[in-house]
Amino acid sequence: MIYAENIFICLAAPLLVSLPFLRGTSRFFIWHFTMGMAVCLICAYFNSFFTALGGHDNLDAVIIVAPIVEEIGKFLPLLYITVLFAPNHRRMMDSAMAIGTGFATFENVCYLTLVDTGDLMGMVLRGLTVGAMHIGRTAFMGASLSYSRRENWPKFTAIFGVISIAIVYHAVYNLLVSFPGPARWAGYIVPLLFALWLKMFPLRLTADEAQPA
Amino acid sequence: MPPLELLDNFLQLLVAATGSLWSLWLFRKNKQTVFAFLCSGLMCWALGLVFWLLYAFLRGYSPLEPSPANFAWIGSLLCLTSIGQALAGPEEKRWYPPLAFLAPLITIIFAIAWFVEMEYASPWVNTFWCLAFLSLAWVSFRGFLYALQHKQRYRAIYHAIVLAMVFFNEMMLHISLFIWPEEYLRFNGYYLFDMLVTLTLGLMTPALLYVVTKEPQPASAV
Repeated sequence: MIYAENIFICLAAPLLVSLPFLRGTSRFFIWHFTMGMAVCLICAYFNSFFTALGGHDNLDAVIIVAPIVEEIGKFLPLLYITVLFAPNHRRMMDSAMAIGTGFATFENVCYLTLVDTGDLMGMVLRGLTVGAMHIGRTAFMGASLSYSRRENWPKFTAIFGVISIAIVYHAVYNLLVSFPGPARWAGYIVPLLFALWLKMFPLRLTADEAQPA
Repeated sequence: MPPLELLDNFLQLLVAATGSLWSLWLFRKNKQTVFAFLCSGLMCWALGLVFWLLYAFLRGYSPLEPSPANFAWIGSLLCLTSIGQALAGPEEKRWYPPLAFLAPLITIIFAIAWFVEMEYASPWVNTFWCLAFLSLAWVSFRGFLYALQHKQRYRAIYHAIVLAMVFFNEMMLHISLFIWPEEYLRFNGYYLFDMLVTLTLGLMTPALLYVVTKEPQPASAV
């Protein structure tokens, strides 16, 4: 068992202490990064709860429970930000990626306390792929929330359709990396290829990233 | 997993993935948001199948419900509902013909059968399936009736394909669950209706392409 709350306090305290002294985008990023770490901690509790409730074993907890809980957990602060602050598209994407980064970072820190950190290649792969996966998924949900505020976008159905994509993508990744051998390598490669493809061929719903209606 | 079931699922995965990539290419070319929704819907369907097949292959049994695959397939239905909503103009959105309530009513009857007969299934999954089918059936049947009334042939064909997918999916689920629940080793009604679902998934992209290119869009539709 790891004391995740203590790890969170140790990581979040310096970040929160720095907040009053920062301005502009630095403060914005640190705040959302810390929020992402808090979301990861809270999702860990819900993961344990639903695993016990459903009678799942440890592997099923990682493959079935965690993707559902974590993607919904990352979606909720984005929804909160959208409803309360109505940020523009760029700001929304920055929030989403900062939350995703904080989530991935805290998850990796907790992972480090459980495994042997001597395997350099394993650490590099774990760090890059988890980061690409969480940040990519959260950015995808953030973009959808941002576009959902446009006049003609079918809000409810489109948003929950997007969450479903995020959940199943996360689940396929967790499923592949949970089994050693070719499956694990395939799991590591997919998020990196997806992130590379998005960078090379960015998707935009209109020619410019217009303000919502 | 029996070879016939594996073949059936792989075929559906191939068709859904191809349709998704084709929709993505059409979206990049035409910049019409409906293609992005269709890409998302078919991608959700394909990813759900990928998860289901990988899990069965790696663990040796089907995943417990609710699983991410259930979320994926429900999300797919919601994305298809988004297409129907996006294609509808303001006049269609304000139109509530009594006949259009028939489609969601039929899906509710199917859903009641799930709750009564499927004691082992997750009630949450059944509820979300019911709501997703209900919303898709309503939007599609209303769109179908509106297109018939306004002589919009390609829109009517697209909505008919979506309604057929909903009907074949319901029939497939019911046959597999109630009528021939254990008989997966030989070809039966389950495989027939699942292959019909595959056919409808394959026809959605060309049907939507004809709608977008050949029929005028309402003023505020996407």
